[in-house]
Amino acid sequence: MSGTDARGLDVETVVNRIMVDAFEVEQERLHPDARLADDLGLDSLDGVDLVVALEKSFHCRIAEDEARSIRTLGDIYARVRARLAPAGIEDRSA
Amino acid sequence: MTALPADPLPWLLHRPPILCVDVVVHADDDGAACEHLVRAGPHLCDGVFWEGGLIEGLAQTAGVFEGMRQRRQPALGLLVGVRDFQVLRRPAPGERVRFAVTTEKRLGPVSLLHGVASVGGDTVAAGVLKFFLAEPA
Repeated sequence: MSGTDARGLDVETVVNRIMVDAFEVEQERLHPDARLADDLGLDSLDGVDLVVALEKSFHCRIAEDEARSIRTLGDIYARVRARLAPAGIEDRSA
Repeated sequence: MTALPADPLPWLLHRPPILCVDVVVHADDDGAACEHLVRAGPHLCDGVFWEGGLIEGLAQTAGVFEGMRQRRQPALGLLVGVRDFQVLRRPAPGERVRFAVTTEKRLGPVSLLHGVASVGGDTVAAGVLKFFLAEPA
């Protein structure tokens, strides 16, 4: 699993790298509207790995109810940016 | 709270020869540990404990942990993934293996547990195991 240190980051790039490296999703399929299950092929068993990868990459915690509400790649970008904003970490992709 | 050490059988459907844990030695909200004395018999391959048994021992320990956590006997779950699992050495007959699992992450019915198998305090195998847990009836 990617353990990329994402400080000083581009959220979209880091998230997309996780999708490519950990879940073998083709880069060209990654866009904000892509649905994790229907478009990118992730299932419920992948969800916990995705959350762990995000938490490790962005040094944040994603609550279970929040994780369950994620449906698209754009949802991930938004959740991560929301987590980083209070810490004053700039998202270079925003 | 279950008094320890405890018999793992109430929390497991496994029976010999696939049973790879003898006794529960630790359990709390974060994880559990069981021990197994390696003996001559079907668990040996080339004279030492088979590698699959190291994963199986951790999986069965996870089963005990989840059963205790859910207060359900037996716990119903499936080992659905293993990641970053390394076997440093395979224990020999006469050695007592400690299988310890701790929760890394839980999301709904799916959980990731970090598992470590050790002998005399020295790690012999470790990795991350993924489980799908059946909902209590």
